[in-house]
Amino acid sequence: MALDLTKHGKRLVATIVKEFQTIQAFEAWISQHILNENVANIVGQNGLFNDRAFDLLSWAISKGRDTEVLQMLADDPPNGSPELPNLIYFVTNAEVEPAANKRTGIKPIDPHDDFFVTQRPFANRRNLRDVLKMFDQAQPGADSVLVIDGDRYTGKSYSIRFAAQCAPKDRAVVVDIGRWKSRPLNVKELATWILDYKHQDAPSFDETKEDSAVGPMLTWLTAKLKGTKAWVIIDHCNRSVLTRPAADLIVELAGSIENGLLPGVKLILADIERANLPGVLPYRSHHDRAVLPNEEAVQQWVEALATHLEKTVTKQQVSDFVNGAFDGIKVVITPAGGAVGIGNEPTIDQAAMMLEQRLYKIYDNIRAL
Amino acid sequence: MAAMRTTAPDSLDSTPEWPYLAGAAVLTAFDADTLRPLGGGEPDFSQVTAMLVRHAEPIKAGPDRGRWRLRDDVRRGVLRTLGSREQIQAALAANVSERSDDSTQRALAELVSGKTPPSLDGRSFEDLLGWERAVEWLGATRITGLPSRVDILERIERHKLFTNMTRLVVGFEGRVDDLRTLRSYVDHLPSESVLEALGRFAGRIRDAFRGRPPLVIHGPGGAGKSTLISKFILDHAGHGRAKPMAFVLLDFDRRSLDPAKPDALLTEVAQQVRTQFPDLAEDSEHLISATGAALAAEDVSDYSKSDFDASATARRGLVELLNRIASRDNQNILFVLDTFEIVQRRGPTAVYTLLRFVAELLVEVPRLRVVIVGRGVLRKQDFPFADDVPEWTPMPLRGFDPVAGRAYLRARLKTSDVGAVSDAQLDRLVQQVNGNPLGLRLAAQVFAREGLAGVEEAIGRQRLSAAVEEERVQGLLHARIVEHLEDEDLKKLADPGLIVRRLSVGVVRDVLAKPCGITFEKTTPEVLFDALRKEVSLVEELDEKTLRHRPDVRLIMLPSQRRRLSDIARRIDDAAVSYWERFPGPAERAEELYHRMWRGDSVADLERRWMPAAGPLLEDALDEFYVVAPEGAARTWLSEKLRRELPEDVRRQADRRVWERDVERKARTLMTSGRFDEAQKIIHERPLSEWTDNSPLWLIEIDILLLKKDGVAQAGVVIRMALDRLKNTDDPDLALALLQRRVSAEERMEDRTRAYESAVESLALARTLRNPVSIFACGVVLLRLARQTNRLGEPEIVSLRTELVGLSKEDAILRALPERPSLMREAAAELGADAPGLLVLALERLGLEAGAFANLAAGSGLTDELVKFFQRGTMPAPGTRDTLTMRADWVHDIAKGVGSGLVSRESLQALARFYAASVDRLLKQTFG
Repeated sequence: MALDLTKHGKRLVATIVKEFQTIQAFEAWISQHILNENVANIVGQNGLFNDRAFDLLSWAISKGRDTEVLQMLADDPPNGSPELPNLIYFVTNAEVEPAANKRTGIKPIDPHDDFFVTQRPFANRRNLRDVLKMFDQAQPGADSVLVIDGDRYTGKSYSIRFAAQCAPKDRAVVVDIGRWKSRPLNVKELATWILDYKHQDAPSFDETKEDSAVGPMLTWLTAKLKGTKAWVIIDHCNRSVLTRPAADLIVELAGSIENGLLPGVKLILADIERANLPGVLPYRSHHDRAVLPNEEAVQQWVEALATHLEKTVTKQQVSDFVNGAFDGIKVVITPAGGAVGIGNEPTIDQAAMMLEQRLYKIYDNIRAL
Repeated sequence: MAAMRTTAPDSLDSTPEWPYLAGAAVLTAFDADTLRPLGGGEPDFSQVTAMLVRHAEPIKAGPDRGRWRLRDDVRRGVLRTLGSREQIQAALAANVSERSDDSTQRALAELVSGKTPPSLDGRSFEDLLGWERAVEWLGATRITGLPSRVDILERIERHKLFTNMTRLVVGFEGRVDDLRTLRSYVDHLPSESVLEALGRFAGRIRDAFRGRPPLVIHGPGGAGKSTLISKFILDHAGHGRAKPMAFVLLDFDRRSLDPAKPDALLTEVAQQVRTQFPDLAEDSEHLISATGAALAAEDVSDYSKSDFDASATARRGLVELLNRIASRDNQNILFVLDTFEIVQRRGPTAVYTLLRFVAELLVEVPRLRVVIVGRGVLRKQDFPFADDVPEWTPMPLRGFDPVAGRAYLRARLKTSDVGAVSDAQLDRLVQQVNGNPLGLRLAAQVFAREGLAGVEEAIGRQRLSAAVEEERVQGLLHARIVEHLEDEDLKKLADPGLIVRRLSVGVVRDVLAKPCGITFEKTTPEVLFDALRKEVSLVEELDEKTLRHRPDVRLIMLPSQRRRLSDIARRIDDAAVSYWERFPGPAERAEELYHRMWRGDSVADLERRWMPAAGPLLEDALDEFYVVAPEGAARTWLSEKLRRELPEDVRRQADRRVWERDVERKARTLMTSGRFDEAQKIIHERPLSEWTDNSPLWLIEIDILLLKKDGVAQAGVVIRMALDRLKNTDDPDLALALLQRRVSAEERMEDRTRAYESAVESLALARTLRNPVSIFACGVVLLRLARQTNRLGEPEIVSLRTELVGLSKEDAILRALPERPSLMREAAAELGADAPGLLVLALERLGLEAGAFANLAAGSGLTDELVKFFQRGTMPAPGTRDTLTMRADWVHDIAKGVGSGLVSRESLQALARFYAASVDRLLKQTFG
């Protein structure tokens, strides 16, 4: 990543100055974080605070260390204020996320066991966590395909984000078809997206014969994916923006992986009819069914989180937390497996949102113990 | 570690970032710098960034790259909190300048601006996509009067059905006679003239005797066949028609439509019916489910026990559905099979199977009208193996008429820098080439460069009076285009360089330059390649770096070019092989193989370089070889690789092995569709005495005999003969397969003792082969016979059972079972009580037959926990198979229960007993 100083420099400098307050604090931070480098080599010693802040950013860019320096600023901001990390999140287009605030004493954790996904509580999915732990070592074939399904608003996309969090950063691409604008997504656009727009030489095709483009596009796609060991993560496979040939391409790509044509490449699909996948995938692919957490899952989440935060919680406290989380939420499972609210009870998406808010509260309460 | 919040939010609207959340929630995308808060006031950027971190994500591609959007779940939460039209309007008003010009944004604004649901009629495809998303977002609010999302989705699917057709008919003109012929055949709209009405009347009388045979439209590529049928469908069923015609369009250009499996087409038919008739969604779903069951019952290796009932049930479902539409709406239904040349490529048996399928449908659905569209002519003599080849009515699509030809030429000349062109000039061009589309395309190119005089000079003024073959005219035009290329090097590149199919800068430099005499003193490979790219009548772009010689032009010029340039062609082939063999990909391997075949490499060499992924890229090459290449082993080899049947004359003269392989392929295609008599006729093309000792045809012959009511004795004779002949050679796999058939034959003759002995013998042979699937299959049969003869308690059977339970967990078995449903059912029956995974697999794949639930629940040993699982679903409809694939929840729960020990052994035994009863009943049906 190359930080664009002409676009964001002024705002970043102003926030650094505001947050550090003094040149001494700023330079002390530099000496603590950028080792083996004299502070005077990084920032001019005669300039104003603004100039020095600008110097740090320019130095980081010139050394190709801008991401590293911004990450350190986001991880360990002056006075623990969130303002600078938030700004860094913005200027880096979300590439540098504010990590756990070290002053809270939270220890790092294996992403597969994380309590949060994209800052939101993630309580359950034991099966998904287990699959993802071993997924990078999966054998070629059906073992390299994971299908996530479930009813609406039960957290399929949430599972996808979790999978993305567990995927090797440099080998993963997330194709969220739900993010496509309101126009048809054709087979070529999808193939290019799956390759994260790194290749622009996809075969041309006649728009009146998009069906016949599926074969050449698959050949091109598999040739590009071969040997990359990529994790291709596709969400919202049933969206209506997909043209029929584009939808066929997803199925065919799954078939190529099932046939062992793309050893090392992993495919995670959400919102797709597993039974319609080719070969043995309906039976032999990994499968995770998204459901809202139940009492048992929330209880495990509370206990594990407390342990991780090195807090002691009594059985009664755990019980209170869990009961509080589900207070007023009564969902029933319909014959088709979907969950709906009864009468004035919350609908499934409302229930999901309520649970999330309550898990946040629980997290705060445990930290406060 | 991922980010963790440090403070918990209260309700969304009490957080400091709420005004920005509200602003962002009504925007499809926003710029963080200019986002305005709900309620106005100066933005606080620190609150904006706090909102971004918690609730938004950056857009990293497309026109909105660099902007942000709210996560969908947060958006729904915010919209729910905003709740009312007024609040959402206020949030929109705060950010008027931030609104993108996309259909979702427009739909959102429109939906909150009025209280009555806006009409969906006449909305474009993109508009509907936007509406769907906006309605989904607003579904969380208290806003009433929103259009139904289901209704929008139905309209979107309907638009998708027409998208390609709408694109195809842009600029369509003429073809009046052809449209009239179609109108008369389909007979949906009233006649447009008295003459047409009379013609239709005569047609009805004629069809009453002939059974309304399918109309087969055939013509060369580019003639506008698909465009014609699209125009017809849009005229009869397109948007805004008062009484839209019901239609099904199966385009074999779609890879997932397998012409060899008519049953698999039913799913697509059902989906198209569901799209056109949402009120019949339930019936369509039922058909999809039945089709799934039929496909699940297909056994790749065991015809004698395949459940053809499932196929019949699915087809019956289709007939009922189509008849229901026809009678309810009092209309004929159009059923189109497009790009039929793909089926024809497969060979006559695939074509025959489909024609029979269609013919049977026509009998069962009196108001069905079938139109088949393809390049090749259908000929009765292509089906010598069948006595009941269905009738059809050919409709050759000749060249464009003057009106259509004019429109076509004007469209092509639009991109050329030619001045005004009169209708008279265009009409003359159309006449010169007989309206042939390829001829027109080439003539347009010559005309654009040299005017009418150039065209007449190229093909001669006598063209108007002399019957010169169309292809010769096209060849002359092609030669003229090449001759008049302005650049001498480009001319050399086009002739002889276009002997290659695929061109890149590397091919120009390393393959063509030397044989074509190009020295690059005045030019570079890059410049030449770019110049060739502009010759659109000769080449088409595959991607930015690759061109392809147009296949239609290629077939015209290649024969003469190959003859004329045999030595140079050989040098190009050699250079091309050396060039392409350096690359690893399938596209490159296809070119290497193509040139190897042209230069006559041995089959052994071709086999050594074969790569399955290159196969589809050689389909066109095989077409080419059948037109221009000499006879040869390479051609036969490629036919086999591409699973294409050999042409009649080639097969008849082929040696025994090649003939047997081809005939086996044909017979299996026919057997998959239950055409056993035709399959038998094909394999008897040569007498049994001429079959090789280990011919694959022995098994086909035996399987067919075993399925015939009085064929078992004959099957026994053939089995003995085959086993006897097998003594001359070493083929233990075939020996095992024959022994397995012997078990079936003896069971069929109710000689269980001998059947048991044969099963013991086959298991012993399977053990020597060390193939786990064979051991498993033979072992399961032996267990069944032991159960039926009360030998389950014998020590060797107990030990075998333990062995098979262990085997059932092996990957090889789990991979094989989904393709062998008969074996899966038997395995679930014999081993399910001890191998619950097999039961789960069988439940998921085969489901439970109708009525099974009632039997299971009524005191058959099924314990409460499984009854509970089944009660969660609805009962299967009478007379249908419940595949359970639609009820993934059940299987999921059962699997979970089985894995965790929640499901008792009694329940497993009960389920296994169900499958055992099912196996016994099916065997009785097959043998009985």
